[in-house]
Amino acid sequence: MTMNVNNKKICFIICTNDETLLKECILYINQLEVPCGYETEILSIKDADSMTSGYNSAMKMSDAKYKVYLHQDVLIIEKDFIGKILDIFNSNKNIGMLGMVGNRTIAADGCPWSDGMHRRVGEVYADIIKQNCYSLFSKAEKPYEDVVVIDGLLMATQYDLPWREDLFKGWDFYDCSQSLEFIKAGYKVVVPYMEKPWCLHDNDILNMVNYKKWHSVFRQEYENIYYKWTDNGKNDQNNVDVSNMKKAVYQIFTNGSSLLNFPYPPVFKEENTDYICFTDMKDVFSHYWKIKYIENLDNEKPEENETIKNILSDYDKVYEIKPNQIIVEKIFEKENEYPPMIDVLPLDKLPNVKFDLSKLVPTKNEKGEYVYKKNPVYTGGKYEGREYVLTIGVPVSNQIETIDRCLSGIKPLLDNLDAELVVVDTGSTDGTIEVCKKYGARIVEFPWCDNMSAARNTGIYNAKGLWYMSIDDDEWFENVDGIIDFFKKGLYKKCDAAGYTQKNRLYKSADVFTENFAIRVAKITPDLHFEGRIHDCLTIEGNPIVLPLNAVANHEGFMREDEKKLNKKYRRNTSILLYDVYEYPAHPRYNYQLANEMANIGYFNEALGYFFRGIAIDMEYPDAYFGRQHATSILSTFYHATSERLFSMSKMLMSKYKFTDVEMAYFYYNLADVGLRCSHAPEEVLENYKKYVEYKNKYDKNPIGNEMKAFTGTHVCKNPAAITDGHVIAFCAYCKLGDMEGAIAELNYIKPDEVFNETYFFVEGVLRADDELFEKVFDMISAIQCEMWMNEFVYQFSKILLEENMFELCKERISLYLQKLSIKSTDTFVERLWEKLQTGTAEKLKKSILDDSTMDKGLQTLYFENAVIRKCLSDKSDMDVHMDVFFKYVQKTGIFAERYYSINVLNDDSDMAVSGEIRAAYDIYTAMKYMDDSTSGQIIGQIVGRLRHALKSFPGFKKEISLILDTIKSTM
Amino acid sequence: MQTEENIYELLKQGEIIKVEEALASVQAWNEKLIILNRLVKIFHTEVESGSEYTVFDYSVNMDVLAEHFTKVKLMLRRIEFDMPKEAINEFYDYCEKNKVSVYMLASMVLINTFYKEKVCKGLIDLYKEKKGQKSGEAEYFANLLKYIREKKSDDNECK
Repeated sequence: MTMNVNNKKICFIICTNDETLLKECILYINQLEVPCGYETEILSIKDADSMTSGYNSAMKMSDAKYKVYLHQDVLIIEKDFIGKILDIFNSNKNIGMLGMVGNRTIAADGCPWSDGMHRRVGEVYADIIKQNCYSLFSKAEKPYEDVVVIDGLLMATQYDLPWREDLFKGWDFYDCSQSLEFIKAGYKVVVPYMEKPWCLHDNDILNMVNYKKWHSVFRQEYENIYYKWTDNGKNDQNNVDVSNMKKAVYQIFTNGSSLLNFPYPPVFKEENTDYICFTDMKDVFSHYWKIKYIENLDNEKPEENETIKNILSDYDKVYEIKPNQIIVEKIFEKENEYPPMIDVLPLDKLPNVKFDLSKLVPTKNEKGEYVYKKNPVYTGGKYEGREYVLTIGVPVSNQIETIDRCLSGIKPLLDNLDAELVVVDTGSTDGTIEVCKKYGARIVEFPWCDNMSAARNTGIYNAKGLWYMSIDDDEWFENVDGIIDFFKKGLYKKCDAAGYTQKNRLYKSADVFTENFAIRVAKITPDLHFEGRIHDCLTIEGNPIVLPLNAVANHEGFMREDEKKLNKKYRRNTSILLYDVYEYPAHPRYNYQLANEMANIGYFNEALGYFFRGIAIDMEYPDAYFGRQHATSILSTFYHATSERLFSMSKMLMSKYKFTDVEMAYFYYNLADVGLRCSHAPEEVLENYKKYVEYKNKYDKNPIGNEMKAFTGTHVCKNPAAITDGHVIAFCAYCKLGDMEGAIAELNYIKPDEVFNETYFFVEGVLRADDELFEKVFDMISAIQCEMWMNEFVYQFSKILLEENMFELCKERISLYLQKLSIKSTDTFVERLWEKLQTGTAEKLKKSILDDSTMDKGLQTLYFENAVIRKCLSDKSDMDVHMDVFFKYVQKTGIFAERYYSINVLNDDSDMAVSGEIRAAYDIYTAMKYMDDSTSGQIIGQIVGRLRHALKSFPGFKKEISLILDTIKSTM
Repeated sequence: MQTEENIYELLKQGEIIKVEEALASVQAWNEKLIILNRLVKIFHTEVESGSEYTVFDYSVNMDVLAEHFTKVKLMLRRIEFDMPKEAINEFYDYCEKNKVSVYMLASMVLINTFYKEKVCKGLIDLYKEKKGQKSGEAEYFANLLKYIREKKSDDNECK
């Protein structure tokens, strides 16, 4: 008997053996919104023989077009679930079935997860009794993504296809089977895009008793069908589906072509473009590239391969990306403006470090699992069989200068708790161990092997405490009260791990530091261990409950003022970290640490490549924390590695991740700052500045909430100097724009002596202000600041002087500026300004400023004139011309000296009123006058005396004086 | 090493310390054993905090306890996902009738919920409504809420 299908009905089908779970499952179904005109039905099949038989019988019982097969322990929490699945089904009649979690590809053995979760797509809240988690495997594309199989936790259909109860008589693989049945029938199987998970799955421990049996049945039945979704099957597809695309970006990824063995996804992917990776490696996989496997690819000339040529000839435009490049922006509409790629330096090309593959000591086994020794289980002790409640582990290595500070900070813990101190000695010879012994330390020898985690794991292995706390010999606690309370009050019984605040001090001489929350205290289980050769990380099973402790430890790892030590540390850390990155190429933390090491020492461009690589990794293997961290670092680092390209990318990155208000404030602040530096339109600068203010205001309303989520950038919201600098950026932009009202409004927040970093912009704003504002603000700038900001004034004057119609304004303002300078500084200012000016501009300026009505003005004039002459002197290689210019210089200075100084002062070497240079010039000028008067022996003696005196006063004229003396000798 | 049956037998005899010792050496965990492990930890908190009733006062039969644990967890989740008032009242009545301690609820809030703050606020409102503004339970969950907020934000918890 055939049943009429009811197109307006949705049936929920649940196989059940537990009334409690079923009741709850139904409660949630009954709360769902039912679209107008639709009806729902719930069928629960009790104690079915198998999932397939239960589902088949329910399917036959219901006339609903739409059926939702779900586990009894699934709660549908998205109230508009029905509407949403109907939208998807109605949008494409080829969609046969959808699920909450599925697989884009499948492992060769047909199991959805046997080689990891990287193939999974979709999301679900999962509760597995001892912990909960938000299982986001990888967000599906909007509005849905095609998959090969879906998970049986929820399977919704719009067509009835019989479940294979002839094959699957248990509780496994019915879901994979049904997915492939739909695909065989020509339907799509999809996972919808979900803003948040639509379901909660109350998972329990998986019953795997018969898993292998049904797995084997599945393989036998479907292997030839699912093969095309395995890696090998995908590689075997001889024709990449390219027909409707006009552009292709391709990469030739051959065995050994990169030390970072990974075809990196583009950071920004353009629509209507095929991304093809040609490779001779069978195990290459990527969500982002269409992998085209080519056997026997000639590594020397892969581009000459006929298959590659044929495929690429189908496109109008093709671009090649080398294995160590990442596409970083949508470049094709402006392809002539910017290069589209950013280079990631190979590991063996990183600055100042060596990478030697023969020195790699693997840290993982053949299965790819991290290798560590399981910690022993003790009995008999009073703390769950262990002797102490806490073991404090300190790996040490020749730290005689800091070890006492470290251990004295720990001592209150040893005094107040049942605690022991275990020191892991990696080869100290400077007396460090003797100091440790004074604190009662138990010493464990550990030969250093370039692996910090191995040293720490030795500490855990040898610990007799129930809990382990790890601290470094260059750290020291400010207080440990929170840790003592944690153990004394028994709080440790309620969690798995704890952390404290780590202050990374940047300067010995100043209280400047960054803060982070470090999880360094954990209950010892057989599997507790550290991972990472240098910046190690505590690895705790499951989803641990972590308690923050009221304790602060200082860390002196990266003191900025000791450049030599910083460099040494960079070399040590990076040369070890390289091996982690090599061994775990897709591990976001190692990549981040490597990039960070480079950024710390100022290799910003090199670091940027790796930060972008981190985002590429995140696109392939999403990581909630590190993807965002890499983006944060790019948006912080591009300030240092100023470039137009980074500027244009930053906004794209800002919308790619969710950032806190304080981070957004910081990024917009940087954009405004860099925009001003790169001479972007002031309107754009102000737009970014206003965004900064907007986010800063949001931050001000909730500073604690913001800081709990991120530390980056808080200074632009909290630090008065940085805030003043922000106003300076806006002030300068308003002045450039000619908006004096806006500039005055910003000026109200600026005290010139509080301007910190942005002095160049402040001076630029001042010099570009209209007369009224200039007068007002120039009054605010003290004479001392005028001297301190001389470079800023020189730079801005020299820049503005070149602009059209700005000469007169600059001339007046230079005169006013000179009035605030001391006479001695005038010389320096003029000399520096002249260096930057074209000769024509300098001459014009000199002429318009010449005035010798007073001694000060006369001296200024002299400095102006001499600056021009000195500039000529440095340009002349012909000695005759050089000496002509020199004599002019000497004459002008001599005339000035005669006019303003008495003979006694000029002849008295001890009188500091006259500079050595002027005195020497006056002597030479006088000698020249004698030469004009007479050549008698007595006079010549006086000339020589004057010249020798000049040389003594100012040795800088040695070359010229020697020439004059030679000339005199030759005429005698 | 104790068998699973032996552990449940020890439980029936009320030998909670021995149950705990036996659980420490369990190699193959299943759903019931994990629940028992959770219950033992809840029991310790209840004892240390001077709770009038403990979870093992409800029953020492593991099947009954497992069902009890699951019911409380599922019903608590109704607050999290905005189930109707009657469903939440059912949860309250169940807890009152079966002397479910705040410590057991707190354990579930901390371990089994996704929007911890929301659940905490829901519990505070529920107990204030049922037992008045000065309800001890409401005060307890207010403190728990404070602790959760200090620990981290709701958003982060779900990541």
